[in-house]
Amino acid sequence: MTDHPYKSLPDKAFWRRSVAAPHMADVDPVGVFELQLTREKKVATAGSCFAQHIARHLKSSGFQYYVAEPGHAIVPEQIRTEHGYGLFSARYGNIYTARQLLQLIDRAYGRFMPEEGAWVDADGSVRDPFRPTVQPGNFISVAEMEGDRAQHLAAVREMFETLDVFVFTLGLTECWRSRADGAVFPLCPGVSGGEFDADKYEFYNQTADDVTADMSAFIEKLRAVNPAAEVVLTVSPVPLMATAEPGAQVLSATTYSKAVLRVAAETLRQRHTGVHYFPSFEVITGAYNRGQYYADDLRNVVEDGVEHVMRLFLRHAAGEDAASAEVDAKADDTSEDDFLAKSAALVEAECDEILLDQSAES
Amino acid sequence: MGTVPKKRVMVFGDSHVAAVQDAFGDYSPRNAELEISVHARARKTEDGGTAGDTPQAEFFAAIRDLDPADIIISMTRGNFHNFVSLVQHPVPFDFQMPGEDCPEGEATLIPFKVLEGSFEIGLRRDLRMMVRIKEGSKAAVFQLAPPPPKGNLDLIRQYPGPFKKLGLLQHGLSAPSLRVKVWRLYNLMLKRLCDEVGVIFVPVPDGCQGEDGCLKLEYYAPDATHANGAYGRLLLEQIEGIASGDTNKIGA
Repeated sequence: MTDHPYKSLPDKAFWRRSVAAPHMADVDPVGVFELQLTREKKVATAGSCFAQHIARHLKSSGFQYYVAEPGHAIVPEQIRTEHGYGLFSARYGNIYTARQLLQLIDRAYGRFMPEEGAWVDADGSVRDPFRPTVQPGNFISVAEMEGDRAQHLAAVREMFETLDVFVFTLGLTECWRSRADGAVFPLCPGVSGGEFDADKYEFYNQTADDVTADMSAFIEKLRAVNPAAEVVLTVSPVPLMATAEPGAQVLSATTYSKAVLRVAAETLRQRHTGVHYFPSFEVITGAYNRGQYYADDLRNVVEDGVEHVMRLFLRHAAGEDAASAEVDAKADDTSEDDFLAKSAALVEAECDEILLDQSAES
Repeated sequence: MGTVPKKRVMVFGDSHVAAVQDAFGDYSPRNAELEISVHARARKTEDGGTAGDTPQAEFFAAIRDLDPADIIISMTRGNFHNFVSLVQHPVPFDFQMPGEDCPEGEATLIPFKVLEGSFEIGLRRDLRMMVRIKEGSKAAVFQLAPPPPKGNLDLIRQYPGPFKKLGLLQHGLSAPSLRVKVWRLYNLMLKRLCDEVGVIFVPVPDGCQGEDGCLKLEYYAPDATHANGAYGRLLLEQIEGIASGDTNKIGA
């Protein structure tokens, strides 16, 4: 028998041994993943909907899920969550495309100031075109929206400058952009706020080269303010809700989009040190699970799938199982404002005192 | 001919009712057809003592017998706005009220809808009591606005009491303008919830506020948040007006 390169390869290089044969929960598609995550490292997240799951699991597993824009502590945790605080590391909402991320860092540092003005709904409430659904009930004025945006971008700067690890989930290639200056929007104008005008907006579907170039530019700009920052790229397994690509069918458009993002992620990993790819896309979409990680709508990912992803992520990045990490799960989960609790106690105490004084007099 | 039954007016509340109780002893209603009674809800205090003079169960038993022509004046709770803004938060905040200018400055801007949602959570807890009163009687129920915040910080500091004990003196007190704005938001939300449950919201009496919106000095009780008997007298006059059908005393 002749020797050949495949003879010395590990089990993970073989389909039958690592995909077809193992129990579904034991399939591990991680190839090269060199991130070393400790509990002290600040992990920031951004991206499409799937990034929210990563954020949630990091938080509940005792790792330092970094939230640079948590909302004012006087606001109850429930309300902050309802209003988009803490879903990601800053209140930017979903960042679906590489171009959106690149423009975010440029907007945060004042290098790009889009011409697009505030979106005003029929009821007079105001949306930020670059995060149109982040504020339930919208803003009450343009000035309030702009004031909140300035705070938001300050938090984004702080996040980029002080994070240790930036986890970004690439979601889409399709987006809509302003013809005036190329500003891209998370949602097509007119879908949730704004008004569609073909003279003002155009469809733009990113190529693998576009995504690679945008992400490379982003990584350079991130490293300019935070040279030690590591980047973890994932591709969202959530299919497109709809495609605007002329003549396209949505499943085929999804395949194109995810293929582009996957190619770009691999290219970026190879080109840049400190850039890692984690195969959450493969965990969810792999044929080994026979579609069981998708909900009935064939789009949303069920919790078992998310848990599979995060179990592998923590095992490879931190050398431990998520289950054992949950011991310290409460570390970053203290939402109650100690000041507010003390202030409430103060006022209650005063109320009691005055009534006691009064009953003593009567 | 039998005597015409008097219209019963039951005032019930927590700490803010003390101002009315202080004034009530010397108060003679102009309308002799009114039978006013004032009750402070009894409860245990943190140090094991008791406060108030009317157990809640006793009050609920009494309002069951009221007629539709009678009225209940609720002064329950009314301190949520003080929880939020009495003492300067370590991270100063501000917000825009609808139709007014957006504040500028260093303080963290909390979007109105975020603060509105926060207040609603706090107020819905207070609202439970109001709903119980409304459902427990045939009488009309009115909810009085709490007194405006006090603007004279030196006078407030003279009565540190629990402030000192809780170690909050180092933070200082919030600016009166912020506390007035928070109090106005509280009243806006309170009125909205009152409308929701069929309770009539009553704003503070005319003339009790200075130009800055704060409580006038002559109505200060010797503490940080409550009004005195002189203010209680204004309330009694307002209550009498309401009971006599003067709708000008009721917030639109």
